[in-house]
Amino acid sequence: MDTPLDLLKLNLDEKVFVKLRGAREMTGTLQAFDSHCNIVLSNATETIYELVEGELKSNTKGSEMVFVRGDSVTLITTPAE
Amino acid sequence: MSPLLKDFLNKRIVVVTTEGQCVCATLEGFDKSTNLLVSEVRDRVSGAHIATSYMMRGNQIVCCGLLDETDGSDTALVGPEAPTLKDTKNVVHDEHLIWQRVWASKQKAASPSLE
Amino acid sequence: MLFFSFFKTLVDQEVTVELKNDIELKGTLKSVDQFLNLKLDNISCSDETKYPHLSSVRNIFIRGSTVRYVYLNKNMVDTNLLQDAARREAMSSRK
Repeated sequence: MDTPLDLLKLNLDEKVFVKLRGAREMTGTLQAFDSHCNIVLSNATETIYELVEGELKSNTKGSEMVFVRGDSVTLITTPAE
Repeated sequence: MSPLLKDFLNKRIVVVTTEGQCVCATLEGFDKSTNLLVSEVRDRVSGAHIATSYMMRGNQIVCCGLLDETDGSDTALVGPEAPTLKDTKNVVHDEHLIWQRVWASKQKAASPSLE
Repeated sequence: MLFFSFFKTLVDQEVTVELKNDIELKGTLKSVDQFLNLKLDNISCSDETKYPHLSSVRNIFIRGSTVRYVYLNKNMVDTNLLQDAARREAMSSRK
């Protein structure tokens, strides 16, 4: 039987979109994952959202290779085209 | 089973907790879940004496830094104007509202003709 | 065990660790254990003026559970090897 994490295997070496705790999200190429949702992304871009006086603001930060600890991860999906 | 802290035994260390507290202490012992037994605990910022002996739960520990032996004072480089450290809870005020706005702006970007 | 092995291959490399309390520490990775607790040597805080608490600290133990990200350089990682290891890990972990 396929578990949700088995499906992630199909996304290896593909672009993924990851939602994180604390109004953050990240896109990048999935290089590795495990059962705790620890992941490694390459060519990643992190976006941090905040509301400043009711206005949605976002800050982005790029990195060539990043390890993300699984307990911050809330969602992993393929990015909308 | 965590031998990583072995080098810090009986030395002065700085401990940062998940609540944002920062103390100096002498490491007396530890276990595999990073529970720490420390002595001569002082506040890192004010230098105030907190306790002679202290047990810190592993899940409250953020990091333990080894204090420079040559630097005799625990608080020398941290002035009273030092800002308080953040906690690790990452509670963002109204996070659900932020995601709602993000979602709305993405929907709009995906189909601008729906305006 | 995948990431335990992964971090072991990064020992003696310079990494930047972002903690969940927003502190960023840059240093040489010295050791790692099964909980992904990390030990860094020769650390520098990217904003030491903002958080002076760890000045005069060179050698630090970081509890794995408080790590948010670990930033690496591209050339430290063999991506083909890592993807294969991830596939194998996914196979072996399902019962």
